Amino acid sequence: MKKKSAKTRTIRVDALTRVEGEGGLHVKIRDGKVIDVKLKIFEPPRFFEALLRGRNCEEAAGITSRICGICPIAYQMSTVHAVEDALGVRVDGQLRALRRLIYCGEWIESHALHVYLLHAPDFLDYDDAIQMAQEHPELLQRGLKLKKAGNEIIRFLGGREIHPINIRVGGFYKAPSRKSLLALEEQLKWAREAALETVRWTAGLPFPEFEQDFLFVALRHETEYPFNEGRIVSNRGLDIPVRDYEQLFSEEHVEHSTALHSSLKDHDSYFVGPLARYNLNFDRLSPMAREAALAAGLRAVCRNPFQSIVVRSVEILYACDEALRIIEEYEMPEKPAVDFVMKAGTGTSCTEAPRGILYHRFRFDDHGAILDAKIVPPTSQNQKAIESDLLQFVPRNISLPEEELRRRCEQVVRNYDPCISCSTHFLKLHVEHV
Amino acid sequence: MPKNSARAGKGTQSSDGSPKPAAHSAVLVIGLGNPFRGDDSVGRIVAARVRRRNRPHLRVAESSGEGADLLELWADSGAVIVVDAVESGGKTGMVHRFEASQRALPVRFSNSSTHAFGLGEAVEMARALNQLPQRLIVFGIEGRRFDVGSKLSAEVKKAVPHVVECVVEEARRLLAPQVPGSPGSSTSACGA
Repeated sequence: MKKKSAKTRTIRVDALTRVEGEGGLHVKIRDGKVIDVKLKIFEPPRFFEALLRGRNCEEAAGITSRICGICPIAYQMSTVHAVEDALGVRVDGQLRALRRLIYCGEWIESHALHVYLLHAPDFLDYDDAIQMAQEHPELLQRGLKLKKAGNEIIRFLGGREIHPINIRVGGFYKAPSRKSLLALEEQLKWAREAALETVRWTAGLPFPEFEQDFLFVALRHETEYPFNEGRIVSNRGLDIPVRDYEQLFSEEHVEHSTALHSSLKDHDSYFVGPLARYNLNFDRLSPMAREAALAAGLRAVCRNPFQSIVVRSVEILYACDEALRIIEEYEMPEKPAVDFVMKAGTGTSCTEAPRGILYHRFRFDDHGAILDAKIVPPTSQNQKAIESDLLQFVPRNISLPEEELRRRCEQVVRNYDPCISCSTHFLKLHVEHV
Repeated sequence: MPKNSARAGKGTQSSDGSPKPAAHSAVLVIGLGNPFRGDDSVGRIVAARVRRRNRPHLRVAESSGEGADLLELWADSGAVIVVDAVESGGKTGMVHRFEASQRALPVRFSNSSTHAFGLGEAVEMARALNQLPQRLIVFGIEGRRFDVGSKLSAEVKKAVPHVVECVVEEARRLLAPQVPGSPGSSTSACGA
């Protein structure tokens, strides 16, 4: 470990591990002060928005779901809802419930992967989940089984786990019978118990004191914990319909990232994802999830990003609980999709991907051919918040040995469960002391 | 069994979807990769060709290579062959063979995946949890082009028929209990 003789230090992580995609981190320190933090995303841009032009809006969900293997449902949901918004199609009743159900599946599988395999090793001082599995096989077995329960929902309703094929504009290609859906119940009851255990277990992990005054942004719905619908709200009074998103949120290119940085008008950074959702929708959680959160020592508002692992666990519990409710109340709809007439239009949508709000806008012609598309994934919106956290975190921990500081910086990044593949667009950590 | 395999095929990312029997006597062949990332698709291309052979003792699946998906896919199989693209600085089109049930895959080989939890991690996780198939052979094909939208490189394309033969031959040996497969790893003629 290098000591303070040099005035300038650099912490570099060339390739961040336990994140989806390729990226790095570069922290520059001078005289004990952090002078620069860059979350470097160098996964090549993927040009999905351009690729969509000329394609029919009805096939768009099959294309956008390719943006991510972990959260394809989020892309499919934002896509079909944007198209439906343009066409004036409203999907209600059991079809709407089924869409919530498949989203529950995605939250369960994505959150279980992050909580158990990607994030937990940071708290227990293991290099990775494999090392952790050698000492705590029962934890990893539970995590993997929980993830499987989420995948099962997606496989069942979506036709397959990755890049599902059953979702379409207006609803689904095929709706399940009540009897077949009930087959998911037993596994989900196990999953709900396992999720409850997960909340209790994560609540006991060691958390550094790191409360931040974040600007949280999430969807909020009149009665539900948000998945597919709601207004975009913040903890500082923002309350807008989704169609106004681009009036207040903008994207800019920065040199060190192939993912565009998002900002909210008159603010620097904002925070999307489980913590934001939870803080803005605590009262919309199911009683079981709310009680588990309080019993775990969380309050209605949590400002410590390290505790996002507990909040993610609460959301797994909520998703299991909600999935069971939907299944219990399910009756097979007469038709698997709502009829619609194709016409020219522009539509917007925002849904709650596991990592936060995912905005889409499509404009298409009379035949449904896409003229232009805009997609803003959650990780690109969180980039500034991640950098800002590092700017706060590093000075407080500057006396840590180099290797330890580097590990903790990576943990700060992983608090956000960044999906770099999604935001472009990968991760590697450089800390430079100049 | 072959009917199930055919269903598993059709461009699916995952298992055959039918309820799994307690254990399979057939060899499971898993092709890994992203079909839209040039040489990364070679595992799936090989798997598709093996499927077309329609051998009753072979089950074929394709996967994006996400680790938890792999753990689930091979959970009930005693003998598994995985085919994936690798990037180790070797000559493009070169074929590596590893006996992953005996030892860890070289770390550098997992780099061509953008997954946080990929093949290398899945193998070691399965080993830690005592869930590793009794025999797990990995064929790695050296690629050079992994960017989105790119095509298979000529060298990798040329290697495909050879790898298909390697897989079929490996499966034949795995199914012949009295003939032990050659352990360890090799880079020549599939270690045959």
